[in-house]
Parts: sequence; C-alpha cells; structure tokens
Amino acid sequence: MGKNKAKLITWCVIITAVAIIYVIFNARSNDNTAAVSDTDTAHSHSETAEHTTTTTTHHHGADTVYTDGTYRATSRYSTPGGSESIEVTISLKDNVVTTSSVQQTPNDREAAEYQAEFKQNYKPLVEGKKISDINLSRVSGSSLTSRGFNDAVENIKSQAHHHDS
Amino acid sequence: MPSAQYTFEAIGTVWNIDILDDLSTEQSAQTKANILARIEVFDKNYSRFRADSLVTKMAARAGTYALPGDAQPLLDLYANLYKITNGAVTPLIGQTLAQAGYDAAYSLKEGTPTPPPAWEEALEYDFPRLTIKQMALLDFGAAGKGYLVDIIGNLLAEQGVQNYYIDGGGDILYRSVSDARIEVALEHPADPTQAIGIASILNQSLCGSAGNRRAWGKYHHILNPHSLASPKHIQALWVTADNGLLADGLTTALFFTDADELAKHFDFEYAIVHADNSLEHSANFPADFFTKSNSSTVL
Repeated sequence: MGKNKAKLITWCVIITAVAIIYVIFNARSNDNTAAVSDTDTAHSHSETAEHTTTTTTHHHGADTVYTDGTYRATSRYSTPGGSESIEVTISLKDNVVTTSSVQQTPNDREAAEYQAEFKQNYKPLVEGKKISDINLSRVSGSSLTSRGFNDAVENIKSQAHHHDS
Repeated sequence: MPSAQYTFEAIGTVWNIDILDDLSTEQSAQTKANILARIEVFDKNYSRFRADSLVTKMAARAGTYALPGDAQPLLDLYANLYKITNGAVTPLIGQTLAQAGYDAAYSLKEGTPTPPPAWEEALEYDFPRLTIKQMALLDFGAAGKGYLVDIIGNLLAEQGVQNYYIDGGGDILYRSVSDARIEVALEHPADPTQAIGIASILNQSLCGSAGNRRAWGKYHHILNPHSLASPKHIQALWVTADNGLLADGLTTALFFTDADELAKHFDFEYAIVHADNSLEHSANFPADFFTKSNSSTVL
C-alpha cells in the first residue's frame, strides 16, 4: 500500500506541474507581462522561447489563446524516501505542443521508477500532416529504393500471387 | 532558385542535387559529368552489389588490400562505431544481410542469416591497408551514402560552387555562404505522403533512416548482428551533424545504442519516432514537429 501511495504522490505532483504550466499559458496569453506563480507545493516560472524570436504572436483559436514559447515548471515534494523534484518543460508553437520533456532528478530509487513511468507515458506522439499541404519539395526519410529493388519486390509479389492462386 | 538541378539514380537510390550558384550551361553539364564519374569510382570501390567492385574482390579472397585514398574517414568511423556499439555497427554485416535476402541480385527471399565474424577475427585495419583474415563480405551501407554526399560536396566546393543542396536518397547536405536555412519535411514512416515535422538546416547534414522501404518479409536493411533480427522498436530516426558521414553512421548506430552513450563520443542532434509513434529528440534538433501529447493518461 505504501508503494502505491508514493506512486500516487509522484504522479499528482507531476500533474500539478503540468497544470501550472497550463495556468501560465493562460496568464501569459491574457497579459504578456507573464505571471510567476509560487505555491507552497510547487515553484514555477515561465521562460521565453530559446529562439529569441521577435515575432511573439498571439494565436486566436476557438477557445484558447496561447503565446509561443517554452514553459517550465519545477515541483518539489516530499516522499517517505526523502525530498524529490521534477521539472516539466513544454514548448508551444502555433497553439501546438512541439516538445515536452520531463527532467527528473530522483534521489530515491522508487521515485526514479515512478518518474520514469511518467516520462514513458508523457511522450508526445507524432502526427502526420500532408506534405502537399505544408508545401515542401524537400523530404528526408528512408532512402528511396532503386528501380532494381522495386522490380525485385514487384517480382516477388507476383510470384506470391501465383502461388496463392 | 537553383541554377542547375540534377536528378538521377545511383548506388541504389534516387539523387537530387541543386546547385544554387550561377553556372553556365556548359559548366553545369561538366559539373554533372564530374559528379557521376566520382560516384562511379565510389561505387566501384565500396558496393557489394556489383561484381567488379573492390569489396566483391575482397570477399572472394583473403589477403591484404590497398584501400582507396578516400577510405580513411569511412573506415575510421566504422572502427569507432564498432567499439562504441559493442559490435552492432559492423562492416562485416554484408554476408549476414545477403543471407537474409538483401543480396546483390535483390533476391529478397527471407533466408536464414548467420552472425558476422568479430572485427578482430576477420579484419586488420591499418590505413592504407586492410587485411581480410577470413572470408568476409563488407557492407558500407551504414555510413557509405552519407560519406558519398560529403565527397560530392567537396567536389563541388573544389569547383568553386559555394551554395548547394545534395540529397542522396534522403541523406542531405546543405551548404551555403548565405545564412538562408532550408526547410526539409521529415517523412512519416507509416505514410510517405505525410510529414511529422519540418527540419530547418544550414551548413550541416541531415540523414534519416527507417525500415519502411528496404523491407522484405520480417527484415529491413538494418540487421542486428547479435540477434539476427531487424530492429522494430524504432520506426524512423534522423540525425543532424557537421557532415554526412557522421550523420549517416549515427542513424544506424541509434538503432542499437542509446543517444546518451553516442553523445559521449560525437557531436550531433537526433530525433527518433518509436514503434508506438512517440517522439524522442535532443534539445537542439533543428525541427518543429507535429505532435499531440498523450497526456490523456495524465490530465
């Protein structure tokens, strides 16, 4: 039971850190002089984007208006195993989370496990956009194959087809 | 706008080269001829897919061979990666790949591969000599194409071309004396009509690797020499580095070895799309990604 409780605490603190970042998003979008909120359980601050861009724009989505930039929140908390801290960083561009990371500095082995589990679960997932829509002619992926390779693949497919029929 | 564009097929893939300097029609034709001639020399030395190559000759008979003048950076990197990846990246993988079906005739019949010999057992490398101690079919697929991209870049530079973009089947080198970055779509490994992000590069190489194209049966073009399986935990990955040789070599190495470990030895940035579509990338990988957070598990 103690294990589960410790795990719950870790997860709650991480969620708090993420929630604070979202609060900052809103604060910044409403007032560009950025709010720095401090609470007893978590210390947080916002930072501007690393690409010292001058085009800090406001995006007007349906419900939300976020300012481009990198947001970071650090949370410290106590566990039965001692004091722990975790730092969550989220980068926003055009209202989309472009990167997110969880920096963990666990002192306790159990905390390390829970934080690693969170990190595992808090990875951004890639989403495709049509290359024709983003209008780029240059593409990098796996190497295009040669005619020789493609012919071989076609050849094998047709052989397999003959076997099937 | 490029003043000259060359598109052709060579070393088993499709090439696109943009010359961004002004060239006369005559210069352009000469430059293309020089590039093709240089690729032919490289192919004739390092391709295991042709009967008349040095590598094929080496596979037929053990002995000490004089390496081509350009071999040192390539072999040095392989020797390094072999150590750092505990033998996972090895030029001795040629026979194993061929047995699995990726042979000179592209038979692509799922065979039963056998492990490659250890470097120390099969090779003795002391540039400019390479001694083949036991039957070995060398394969330079892990870094060769990236190195060839560099070689073509040097050839262009020697001819006074300062601004160029070379794409050797997705391995890219872009150099410019202007500070104009170039945007490159990062192809979705599950759908070549889609991108998962846009990289922006300047005076560096961007190389990618994925198991989606050179694939047959349960294999693709990368084989783990220990497990004899093609890695499936990574769908696609990209590396940026100063040159194509390093960027290409590291794309293969990252299928086997943690980025943190490789970062102790090399200067590079990387992005990995794992099998579950999750994205991992280094802090300064020069790209914007299209992602959604799977934070539903948290928020």
